[in-house]
Amino acid sequence: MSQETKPKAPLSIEGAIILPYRYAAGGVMSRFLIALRDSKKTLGIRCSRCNMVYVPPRETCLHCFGRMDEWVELEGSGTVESYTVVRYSLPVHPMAAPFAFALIKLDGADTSLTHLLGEIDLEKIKVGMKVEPVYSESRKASILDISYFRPAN
Amino acid sequence: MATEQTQDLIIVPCGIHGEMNMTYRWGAGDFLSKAFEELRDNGKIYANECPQCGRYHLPPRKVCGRCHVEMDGFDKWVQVGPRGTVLVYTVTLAPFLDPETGKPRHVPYCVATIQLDGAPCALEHFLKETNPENLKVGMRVEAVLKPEAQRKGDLGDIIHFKTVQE
Amino acid sequence: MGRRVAIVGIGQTLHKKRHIDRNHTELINEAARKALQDAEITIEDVDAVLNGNMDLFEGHNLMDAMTVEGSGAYMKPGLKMNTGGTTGGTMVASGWYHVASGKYDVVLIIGSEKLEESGGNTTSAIITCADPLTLRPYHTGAVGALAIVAASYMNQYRCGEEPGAIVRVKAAGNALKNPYSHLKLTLTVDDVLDSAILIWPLRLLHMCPQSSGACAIVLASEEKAKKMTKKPVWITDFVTSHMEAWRATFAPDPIPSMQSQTDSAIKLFKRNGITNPMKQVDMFEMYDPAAWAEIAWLEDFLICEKGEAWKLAEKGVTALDGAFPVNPSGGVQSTNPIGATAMIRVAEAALQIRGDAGGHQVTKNVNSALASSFGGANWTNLFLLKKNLD
Repeated sequence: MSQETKPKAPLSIEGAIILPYRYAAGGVMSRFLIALRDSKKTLGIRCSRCNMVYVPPRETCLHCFGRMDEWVELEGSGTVESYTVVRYSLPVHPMAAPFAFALIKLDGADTSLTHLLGEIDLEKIKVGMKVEPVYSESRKASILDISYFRPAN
Repeated sequence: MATEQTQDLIIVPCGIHGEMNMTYRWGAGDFLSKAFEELRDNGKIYANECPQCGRYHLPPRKVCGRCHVEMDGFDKWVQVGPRGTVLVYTVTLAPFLDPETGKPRHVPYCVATIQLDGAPCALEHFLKETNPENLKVGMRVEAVLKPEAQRKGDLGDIIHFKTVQE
Repeated sequence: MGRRVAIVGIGQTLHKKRHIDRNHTELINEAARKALQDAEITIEDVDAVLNGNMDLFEGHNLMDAMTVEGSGAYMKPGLKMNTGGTTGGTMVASGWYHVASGKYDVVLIIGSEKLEESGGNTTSAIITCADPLTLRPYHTGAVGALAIVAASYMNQYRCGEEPGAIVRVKAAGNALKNPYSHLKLTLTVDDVLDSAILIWPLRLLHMCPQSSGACAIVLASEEKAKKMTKKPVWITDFVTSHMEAWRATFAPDPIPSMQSQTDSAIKLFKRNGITNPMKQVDMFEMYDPAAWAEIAWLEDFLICEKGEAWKLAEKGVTALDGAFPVNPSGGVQSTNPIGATAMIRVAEAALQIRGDAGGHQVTKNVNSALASSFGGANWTNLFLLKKNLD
């Protein structure tokens, strides 16, 4: 019988992967982000074949693989389609817990935008409620140039 | 981290901090834990031998990558080093980010494949010498260990290999 | 052996340092559209879509999930593959499995990488493929591994530094004729020998660039291929071979040799009756991440005798107008969007067989070609492509 190979205690070794990245938004998404930053406008893009408006916009229609180039300007307000409340904090979260994520279908769009809810009683969020964007003071061409959506008057 | 704009094109940084930062704990398993324990507590470097093909593995592992057989127990381990012979080396002169820290690695540094005395097997590790003029294949080197109190039970308990004259 | 499979459509984007005018989805879309156009089909004709790229080069987990509209994979079956440098070759192999099995008739495969998005830190991402417990602190990425290839070859054959430079100058010249290639450099041997050392003895100009780009191929079953195109290129055979990534622990095995390359060549040549590859095959698109790799690996792939490859370069045998052209595209030395790179080898070999390579079409008539993939885990795919069915 050979002598068993047993450590006094199995070791586990700490490590990390830390790497920087930067992403090209591309022509279509850049136009959306610049409109948001410079004029607080929300742009969508329409597929003329499928008659669908995408927000955020994209170059190719998911359904028909066609190239889209018909821009649509939206009001920016919308309806909560679904939501969830986050009750624990992580460094990567955009807000301190508790806070709410929502799928918001903007008026005039056919897709839902994932964003945050703010200025809101977390216990009183309802599917179907009307919301409006609150813009950040220091806009950087980021989806967080909308700080969050709040209940519309 | 700032967003960049060239003409009408936006470059977006990753996440809030511009980088991905993930922490991990990697399990060493029984064989590697035992090897690191011996290094940490007794300052000894071990290799183990495949009972089928006779190849030595450094650091020891449980299954031979060639034969796919499980290797024998601790009594089949062979102590190797601390001296050895450089089989091949590279000197890195261009700095690049160390993915383990997110910071540039200090250059120049020399990594060598070192055949340790005691068994035909080799270890990849740092050489203290980094000047290409003083490096050559076949040179003799010796492991320099951290002081016992500072050892943690990983391969970093060997700081590097220093040149020795024989 | 399965059904016979042909390459019927090929598309590439330009390969560049940066594609700041399009995001990853849009880059994939361009290659996909070009391949469909080349095959004269639409996305409706495609039965499955496969994607390949490396998560850590863009910091994107599940890239295929966010690129669906670009790839055309919406509601279609498919896979995402990530096998290091071999990714593009693994996708050709996987596409072959999809069609040869009889499960699908027409498959679109897309390999892509935007190395610009890791901000020049490709090496840092590559290092994370090393075992964190025993090797990661000492790993220097592909540059270190290829420096060992160069050092070992020079040490073994005492050929000096010049052969590496000659090969690099050849690759640069070919790349100038290839509109898709990334680096467009007019180089002399002295330029290469005077360039900065990255890791001794590997110099900056020996090494492949970090590129952004995408490549797509349409594969089809024999029945479909014959209807779709007059110029199908047949995937006659291929071998995939894996090996231990870090050979050091297996000393005293010879350190520089890529045993998975030799293993795949032995198997592929035996199965296809090839005893003299330089006579029986017309050319080779090799995954050559550095100039010295092209030299050392021609020997590992058993194309020529040990110690002879550097002389082939000097004599011009591997040049565009040579008897056995190697990397007429300019190779990986000129273009390396990693997730696409190995697929570009297959695509370029197929274009040569079709006679559609344009400015970098080789002088000789090409009826058969080899294409290889090399990856960080030291594994290999080796393909044999032919103009005609056997």
